[in-house]
Amino acid sequence: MDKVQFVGMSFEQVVDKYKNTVGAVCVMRLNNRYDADDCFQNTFFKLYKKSPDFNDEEHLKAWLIRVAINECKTFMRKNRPYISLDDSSTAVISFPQEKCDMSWALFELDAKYREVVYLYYCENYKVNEIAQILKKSQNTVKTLLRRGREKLKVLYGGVDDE
Amino acid sequence: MRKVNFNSLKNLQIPDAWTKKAIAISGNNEGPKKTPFVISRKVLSLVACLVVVCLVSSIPLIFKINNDILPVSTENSENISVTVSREDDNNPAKTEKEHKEKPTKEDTENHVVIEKTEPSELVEETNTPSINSSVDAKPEESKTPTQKPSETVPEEPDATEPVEDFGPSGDNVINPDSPEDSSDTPKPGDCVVGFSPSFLVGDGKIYCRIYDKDDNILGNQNLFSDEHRASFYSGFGSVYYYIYSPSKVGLNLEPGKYRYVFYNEHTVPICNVTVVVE
Repeated sequence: MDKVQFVGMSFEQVVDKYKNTVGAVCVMRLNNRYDADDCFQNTFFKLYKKSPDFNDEEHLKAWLIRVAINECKTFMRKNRPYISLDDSSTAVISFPQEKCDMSWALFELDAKYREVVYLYYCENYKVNEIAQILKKSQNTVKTLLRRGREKLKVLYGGVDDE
Repeated sequence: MRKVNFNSLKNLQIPDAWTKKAIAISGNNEGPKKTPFVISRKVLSLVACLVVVCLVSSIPLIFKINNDILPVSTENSENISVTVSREDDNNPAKTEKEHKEKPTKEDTENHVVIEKTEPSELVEETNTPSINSSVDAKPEESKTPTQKPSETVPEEPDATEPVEDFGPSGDNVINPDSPEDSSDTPKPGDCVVGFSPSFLVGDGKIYCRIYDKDDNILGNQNLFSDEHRASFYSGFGSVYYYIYSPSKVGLNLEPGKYRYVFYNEHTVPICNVTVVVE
């Protein structure tokens, strides 16, 4: 049987290329290693099973991000959050509080701000592209981005040094 | 200005196990499969509701069709033809009159025109068991050389003839096939059979009023008096039959045209029968 191709790439190549993006989206959304693993697998499983036609790699990447976010939402809806006393310390991903690294602060934000800030600053998407991925209006994305920045500023220390 | 970054998140190292499991997806699955066609419960319930609504709305239509055109079985048509042929033996002119009894459809009401026949004829009809007559009549047919089957046969009622043709057979039921009752000769315009869908009949009490050609009510003006009470005859499927015998309450009809209107308990006219007494 012929292998499925996605924009000229095999499934393995797609996984290898976008594993960090999809993994980061899942981790950012769920902040739990085990749960993120499930959603990560489900995202690529859907890609393989549905095999949609993509126009280009950007389309493929946006599709993966969108599906990953939806998988996380579905997961959170089905599995109500609980705290396990046994493995909570190992499951929750912790980021070192380096001086200039804001990754830890991102996880202090609400999920709605987190994903917008992540897509904007980490994936370098533009506002209109984020609006398309999240299926929200551009104004909503701008508002979320502004409020996310403000919250990050408060978390990080409040005032710029210079 | 402080330069901030999200490098920790950007360079988040995905465990190799995740990647291996994801790549294994292609190995575990034979290929992309189409999702099975599943009809959601909402769609199913919607379709079921539509079907129920269609059925419910078609019930009155079915009743109406039953009312208008009730298929006449071949046995009955044979009986009628045989009876007619026997009449033929006695009086061919009257047989032609009998054939004129074909019901006329007027509007959507059950409109029946029954012409008066000689009491002797009615007696003959009522005393003639429908099935036996068909058996007995065959030899008689062969015995009568004056009979013209070619003329009578085409005039036989079709299978699609309305149920009004059951009038004479209804008389059979009203007056059981006992020789004792044959002395009780029906009066002209007596034993009128009406029928209507069961949902119009209601709880079963049927009343009948007779109007003359000037729309004057004959007999008691109170509809709900016993005088006007029609008796339930039988239910044929979803159609109820009922009879009214004015002679039993002392109404003797003069020659003329009369209209029998059957009402249910709610004074709703459910059947309209026109009788011509000659």
